[in-house]
Amino acid sequence: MRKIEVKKKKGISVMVGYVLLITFGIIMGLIVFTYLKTYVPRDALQCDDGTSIFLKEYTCSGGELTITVKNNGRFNVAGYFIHAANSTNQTVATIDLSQDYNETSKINGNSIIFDLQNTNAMQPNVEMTGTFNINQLYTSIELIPIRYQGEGKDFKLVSCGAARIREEISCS
Amino acid sequence: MNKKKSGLSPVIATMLLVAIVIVIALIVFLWFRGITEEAITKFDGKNIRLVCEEVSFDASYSDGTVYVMNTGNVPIYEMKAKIQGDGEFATETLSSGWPERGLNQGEASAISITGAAIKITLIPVLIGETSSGEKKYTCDERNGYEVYAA
Repeated sequence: MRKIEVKKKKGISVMVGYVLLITFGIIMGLIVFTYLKTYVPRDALQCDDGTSIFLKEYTCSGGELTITVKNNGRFNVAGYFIHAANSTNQTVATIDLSQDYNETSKINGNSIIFDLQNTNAMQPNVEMTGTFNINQLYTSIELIPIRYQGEGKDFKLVSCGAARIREEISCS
Repeated sequence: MNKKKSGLSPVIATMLLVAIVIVIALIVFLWFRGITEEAITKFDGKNIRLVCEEVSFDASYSDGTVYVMNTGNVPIYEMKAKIQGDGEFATETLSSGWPERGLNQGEASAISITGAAIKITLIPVLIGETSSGEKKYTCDERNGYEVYAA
């Protein structure tokens, strides 16, 4: 009799055991999910392939640099970043020319934007001319086209680094 | 008689069991907390290791100056440089000429470095978010860029 009574005693009921097990499993799952969720790859913010501009012509004299940029790609472009170098040894241009742009209304941060209404205003095969007031003799300029891309909260200005162009120039 | 003797009283055994469980639970808790704190994210919860793959910049080196242009869409907060000279090697964070708020989209900078270099490996440092605030993260060297003296 006594032996039978001892066997019936349990430290924890089967039901409570299951509840604890499931709760523990859910908590572990949540922690692992929260951590691994950050590793789920998402599309990177980047320009469409086929975005391209080129420097059609320039004049650089009398403290003014005038450039004509043509959209020779397949997509509209919103504007560009422009930098200059003042040494032939310098293969990456680092002097920002955007603040020297004549039409101050088109300066957006460190870029030149053709239309401030957040649109990609420069259509394919269209040319745009701009003038910069310069105070030194530059040896080269670099342009990176930019585009508005995405939708909703992902609608952003995107730099098209792959379409960057560099041109040697001569100023007088 | 011998059979009735036990090694530990049930009370002590229970106390030991409870203590061991508490200690193990604490260790597991601290381990998990460490894991979740290490998850630095950027751009709405994307792990910063993935963001490092998207960093894009161009660089060159000439006459003691490193020229860097951010050609991508990820702001570079700082730049570490592994500078390899003739029979010497040093690692430093580029500071002289580096913008205080970092090198944003489309920005460029000229940074002076001390000493002659043969090869410089530039490694971007990003700033991300953690549960305890903003934190810097140095990308892997494979996300870096090697420049050689002209």
